[in-house]
Amino acid sequence: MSDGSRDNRARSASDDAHAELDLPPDRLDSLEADSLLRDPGAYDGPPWLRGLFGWTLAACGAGLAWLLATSPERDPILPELVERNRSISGVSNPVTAVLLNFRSWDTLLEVAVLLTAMTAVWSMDRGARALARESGEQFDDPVLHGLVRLVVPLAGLVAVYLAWVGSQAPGGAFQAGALLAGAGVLLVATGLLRPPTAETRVVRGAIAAGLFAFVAVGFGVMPWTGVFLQYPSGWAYPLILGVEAVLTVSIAVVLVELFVDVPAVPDHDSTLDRLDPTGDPLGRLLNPDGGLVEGKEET
Amino acid sequence: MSWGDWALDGAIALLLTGLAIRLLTTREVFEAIVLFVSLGLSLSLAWVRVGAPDLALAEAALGAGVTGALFLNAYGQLTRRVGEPGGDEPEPGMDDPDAGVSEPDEGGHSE
Amino acid sequence: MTSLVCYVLAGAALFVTGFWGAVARSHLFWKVLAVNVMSGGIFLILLAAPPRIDPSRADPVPQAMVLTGIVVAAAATAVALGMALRVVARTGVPRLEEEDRGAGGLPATAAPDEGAG
Repeated sequence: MSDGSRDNRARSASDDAHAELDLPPDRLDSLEADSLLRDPGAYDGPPWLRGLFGWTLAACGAGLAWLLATSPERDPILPELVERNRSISGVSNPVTAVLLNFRSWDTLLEVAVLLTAMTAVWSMDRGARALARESGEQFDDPVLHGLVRLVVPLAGLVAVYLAWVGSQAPGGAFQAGALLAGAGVLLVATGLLRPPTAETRVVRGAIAAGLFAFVAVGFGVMPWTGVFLQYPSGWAYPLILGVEAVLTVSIAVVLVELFVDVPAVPDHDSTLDRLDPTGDPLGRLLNPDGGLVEGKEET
Repeated sequence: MSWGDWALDGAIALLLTGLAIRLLTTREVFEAIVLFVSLGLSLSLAWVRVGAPDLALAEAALGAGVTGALFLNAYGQLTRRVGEPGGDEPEPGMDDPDAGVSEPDEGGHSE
Repeated sequence: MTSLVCYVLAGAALFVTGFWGAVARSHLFWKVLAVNVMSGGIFLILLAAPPRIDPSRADPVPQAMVLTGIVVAAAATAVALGMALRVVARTGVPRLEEEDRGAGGLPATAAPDEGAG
């Protein structure tokens, strides 16, 4: 088994792992490799504690399951509410009605959360592009190319359909956006599309457009109804459709960008850590004379 | 409810529980990621049975697709660091010290 | 009692298993996986437990909530994985310092000291 051979190699090199920090850049045979790709369990704490915790949790879980399964039948208040008001919501799919009409405020905040997550991931990558392949440097695999040629246009078509049919049948902006993101991830991962980075205005514009459109609609209806995000009667369907269209593209771009902007893990002899051991772009911005000299932190 | 319903739902519930337990007790990262994608797809099946087709679509695309891709991407970063044959070659920009890092007074992100 | 109770039980099992995994496994990837499993369990309970007027269609309000939850969970997973990779880049081990109770990986101060070489 490959496990056994790897363990042997790890044990024999474990002494060297701590001796020198300047490890050879090609292959890392050490406990670090062992602990990165597999979790030998040496760091997980004593087994008796884990077992005790596990069985206690299992008992709690059984109690929770019993409580849930034997709870008395309640009246379906919320489904009746939604069913009664579905006709005035502008759409016939109750989930879309709840998402984009009855609880549109929650959806708006969710888009803001997506934007926040995007900002968090951007702040972590320090400009290193883990997937930076020049477009044109692709995998030379005919099966892969055939698959992509078949799947991506189909995904685009189905995504447009899903976004539109979400008002009558299962579908909607999130499903369509996720499907488009899947197609985008496929394109980026195979190198057929240059990874979209945050430096282009198109990407940033697309990401901001979703939240912007939603907020614009929210404020735009106020002269007619006086309440933020309260659609005027008769205008619900077109407004929902418009917001969903922009949301689809925005969500797709956000998800692809989250995939692309994975923080790069440098090799041991990479110069990234030497130039910026703190990994703190904001700190360097605020204190440019912090004295980064060949990896020494002088703050 | 017919016994067919019970059999199907019981089977899917057992599948979900088994996948989750195996996923969290295994020792290999790659196996855990593959099991996680399988769990996402099984969850998508569960959403259909529970009567939430919108969620089935979203779970298949997001839970299994995008999250699985994110995990595999992160796993690729780990293998790249380890230098395994299954990982990528180091990206061209990494060898150049000025590739991704701008001058300190720009804050590290070139706009 | 409809057959949906199977999913309530499965949801509780997923939640408990995820909770155990999030605490017991020290590898950061497993913590992210475990939290995702936990949220999957909660979503199952949210959808299978509530009363419904049509036995074949779930309550739409929890459906909308869970849809939001799935999207947010995907984004949060991206952030968490990014942070885990940053920990690996800085310390060389995929676990937090407090949980590194074994002989493994490079010392935590590997990053600033590397420049001396």
